[in-house]
Amino acid sequence: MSIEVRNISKNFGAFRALNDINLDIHSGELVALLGPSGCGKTSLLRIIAGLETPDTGSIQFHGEDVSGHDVRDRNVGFVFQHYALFRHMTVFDNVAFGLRMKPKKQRPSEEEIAHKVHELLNMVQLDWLADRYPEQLSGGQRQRIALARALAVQPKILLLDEPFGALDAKVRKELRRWLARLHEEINLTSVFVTHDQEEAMEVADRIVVMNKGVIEQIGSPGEVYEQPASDFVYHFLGDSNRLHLGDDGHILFRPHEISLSRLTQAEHLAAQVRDIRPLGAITRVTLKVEGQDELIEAEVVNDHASLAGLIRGETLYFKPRPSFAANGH
Amino acid sequence: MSSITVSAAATRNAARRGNAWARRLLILSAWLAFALFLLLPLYMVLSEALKLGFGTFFTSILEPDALSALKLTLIAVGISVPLNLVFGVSAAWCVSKFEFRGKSLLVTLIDLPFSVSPVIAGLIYVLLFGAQGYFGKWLSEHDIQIVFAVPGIVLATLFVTVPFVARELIPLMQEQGTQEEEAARLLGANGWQMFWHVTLPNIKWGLIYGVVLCTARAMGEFGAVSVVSGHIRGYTNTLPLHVEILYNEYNHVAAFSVASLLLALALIILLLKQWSEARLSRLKSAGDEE
Repeated sequence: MSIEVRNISKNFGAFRALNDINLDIHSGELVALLGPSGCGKTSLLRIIAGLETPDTGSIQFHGEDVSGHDVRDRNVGFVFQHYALFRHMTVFDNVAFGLRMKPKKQRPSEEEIAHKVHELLNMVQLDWLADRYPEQLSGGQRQRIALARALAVQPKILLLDEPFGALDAKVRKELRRWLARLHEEINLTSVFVTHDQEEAMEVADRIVVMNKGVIEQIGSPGEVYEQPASDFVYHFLGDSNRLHLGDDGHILFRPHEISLSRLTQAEHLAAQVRDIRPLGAITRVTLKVEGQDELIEAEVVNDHASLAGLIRGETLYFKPRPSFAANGH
Repeated sequence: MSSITVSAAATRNAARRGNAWARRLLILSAWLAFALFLLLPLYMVLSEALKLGFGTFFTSILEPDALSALKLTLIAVGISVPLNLVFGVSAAWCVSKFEFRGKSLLVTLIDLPFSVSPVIAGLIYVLLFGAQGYFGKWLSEHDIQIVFAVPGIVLATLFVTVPFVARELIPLMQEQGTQEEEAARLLGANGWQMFWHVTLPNIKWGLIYGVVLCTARAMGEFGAVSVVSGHIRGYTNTLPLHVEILYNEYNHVAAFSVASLLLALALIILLLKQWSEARLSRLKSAGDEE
């Protein structure tokens, strides 16, 4: 089921949370709403779900205007950052909740519900926790239960609000890979909100980069990274260096877009080594250039010739090789 | 290095010894205060009541005026507590789940009965519904009596007990936020299902506690009820008022006997609270072990 967002604006008092947002999400897509906190991404997600009402504009599901539909009638699955599991219910009852709340005529029998719940718990690989209470589970387990609960009512759309935001780094990584795989299996139109560019890059089919209530760019992870539409997108989607060229001009480049050398070379600038950090496959070298306070970070492969025997305080020669020509003034 | 560790440990031990003394002293003084201000009066009430033996004790309690006072007290409690339950839950719901203009005013107003003297609360009703009051004429024309009758007593009790349930629930519901309710709605629950299956179970502890406090206050209320009651023996006397009348008549044994009845009601309420809490936690831990 596709989602069409049309001219959505939303103000909270004097604060403009969303400013004339237009967005098309295709059927079966996994889309990330990416941006810093306060950019309006969560408001947009809540408006799609029906938890907030926009000031202007409309939301359509597969061409049907659902703006006037109550939350209950939109049939969306929603996963909260802090899980929002029912704390007084067991895992089983949590997952069964949506089925049990159905009007009597549509409600499945208790056996059918039990069958369905165990099926979902197996899918999230947590069937053995059925009789536990939420407070006895780890964060990662809670979020998987929350997902199973949201999927129990067979939603047409799945919305996730910072689903991994409250988890620690390792669990977050595992869970987002698992979510990407799950999405491939069930192929449900899904939108998730995140402020973590790595998460968006790794999981999403398309990324919607938002800032201050407007959409800066919509594109595949490759597009937004390699062809950023603005300086904001460039900075937000990864580490960046700024090298001043005098007369207020500067060039932007990523830490890996650099040539390093121990000897002077044509077009290379001298810089002092401030720090050397081996980070697995790559090593990060922090450089101080004469005439600018901002440090330059260079990332090169571990066995790069310039690194052999390198110590802090030595002089290196570097040349930026930016792939993106956003040379500002 | 090791000397530092040793001296740190020594300081810690010394601190613990100091703490242990302070702790014992504090516990002892707490027990002393408890004995002096709570156990001793309790003992006094019972010993005075039983001074002339069980026969007199039961005669004082089973006397028709005492029984009608008990009945009136139970009526006042039976009406005001359920009404406060409904009001408290709705007010707490409004305040904690919605943003609206005048919210802080509403919260302040809920606290009003705490800050207004109960006597003034009683006087308000006399001024409003009494024979010389604003609605006095209209009420007497329609043959409705509020002041110096049961409705006045119920109203006065209601007024002084308004804050208990709401005050208990507002912080609890604010802390719990609205996400579970939102999750319930997203899963297709209607308003009533959401309240019954999600909100109510989450607040039941606070609710029970608030109702217990409310009931205790409703039973013991003296000032406001005293003003609106008119002290008509056997008709508009609640238990606390009846105790006062007996005491003023130098009928100490009867006064303390009826007082011990009030005390027994209070103990029953406390036991109910204890029982329900224990039951709730047992239910929960049984679920945990499965």
